[in-house]
Amino acid sequence: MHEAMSDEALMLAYREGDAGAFEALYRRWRSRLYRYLLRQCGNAAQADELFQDIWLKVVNARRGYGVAAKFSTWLFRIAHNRLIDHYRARGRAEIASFDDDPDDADAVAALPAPARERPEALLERKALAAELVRQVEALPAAQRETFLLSEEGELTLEEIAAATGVSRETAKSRLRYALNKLRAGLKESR
Amino acid sequence: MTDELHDERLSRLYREGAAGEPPPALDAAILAAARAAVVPAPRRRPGWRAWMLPMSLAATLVLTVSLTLVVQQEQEQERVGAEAPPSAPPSATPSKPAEAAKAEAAAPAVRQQKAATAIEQKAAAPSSGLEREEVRRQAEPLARPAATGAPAAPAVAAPPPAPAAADVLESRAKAVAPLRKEAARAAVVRPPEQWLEEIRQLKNRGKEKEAAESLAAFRQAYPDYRLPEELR
Repeated sequence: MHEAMSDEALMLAYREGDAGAFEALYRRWRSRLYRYLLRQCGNAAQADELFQDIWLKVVNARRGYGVAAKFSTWLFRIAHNRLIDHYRARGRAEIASFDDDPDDADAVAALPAPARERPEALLERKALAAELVRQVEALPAAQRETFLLSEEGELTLEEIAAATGVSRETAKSRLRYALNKLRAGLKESR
Repeated sequence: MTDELHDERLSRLYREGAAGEPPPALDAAILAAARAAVVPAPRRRPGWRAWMLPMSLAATLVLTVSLTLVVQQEQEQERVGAEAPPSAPPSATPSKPAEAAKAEAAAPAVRQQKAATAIEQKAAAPSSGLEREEVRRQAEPLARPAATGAPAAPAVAAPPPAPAAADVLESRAKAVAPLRKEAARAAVVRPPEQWLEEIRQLKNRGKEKEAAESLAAFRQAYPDYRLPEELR
């Protein structure tokens, strides 16, 4: 029954006391949220702690939940805020990168698009995927978050902007810059 | 599909390389917390029930202390009573005015009671029907004034009461029983002049034997009374 329900309907059902609805919702989003956190902080123990905190915030916020946006936008908005708190508590440099985000869209647009995959590249696919993950983790925090929200959260630009509290144009610039940087990095590694 | 903001091949490559799952223990903890959050809280007990235990304990304490004080007071009274002189009449205690008044009223008739005891012993086991009739006859006229307003005791056995009134009559008879005994005692302690007049009437009617028995009883009751000449 829960499988056919939308994320928002599941959350509303949980708000009304249906614990099974929460479990279905959790199963849908647990891996994506966890990978988002793992890529962002690069540490499994910290990712575990943040992951638990975020889901408990969801549990405790159930009474005030309303369908003002997609559930995933709401979930990653909570995750984003928790991550910012985490950075502030630890004094990490990532917090600064959210402020001095380069917005030179023209420069990154000039980067070459990825070449078509060659047959021999498929043999190296696994190693290449691992290299891509490493490059994602090496992105500046704001760009990395935007990329992960797009990939893991499957959020649109508008939703990314809403989750991270920036304008749509800023979100668009971050995502474009992240993609171009990843393409360039992959080209160099081949 | 590849555009400025979405690279399908890059996304596929990322998904192939991206790994990471939350540990099962973390899953279990989060789901348990989520379930616990929606379990209805147990209903609180009414406020008065919260006071049941302390109130019970307080009542038990008060009862225990009261009983202890009462027992101590009674033991103290018994000890004081045991230390008092044995010649002191217990009925003279000011705490029992009713008994004192009763004893006071009984004091002038001590001599009469001595005679009454003798006659009662005789009346308790009359040797013949005549004697029994005489005792009854002597007791009857004086029993009524001695009852002081209480229902007069029937001189002869009343017919069996109706079953419906049996309980009422039984309870009334129980209430009258002590009065009846008192009346019998009063009958034998009637004034000497009246008693002697009765003896004279017996003699006049020719009942010499009954007159002699009544006179003997009179002498026992009033051994110091000076008999008239005709009865000596």
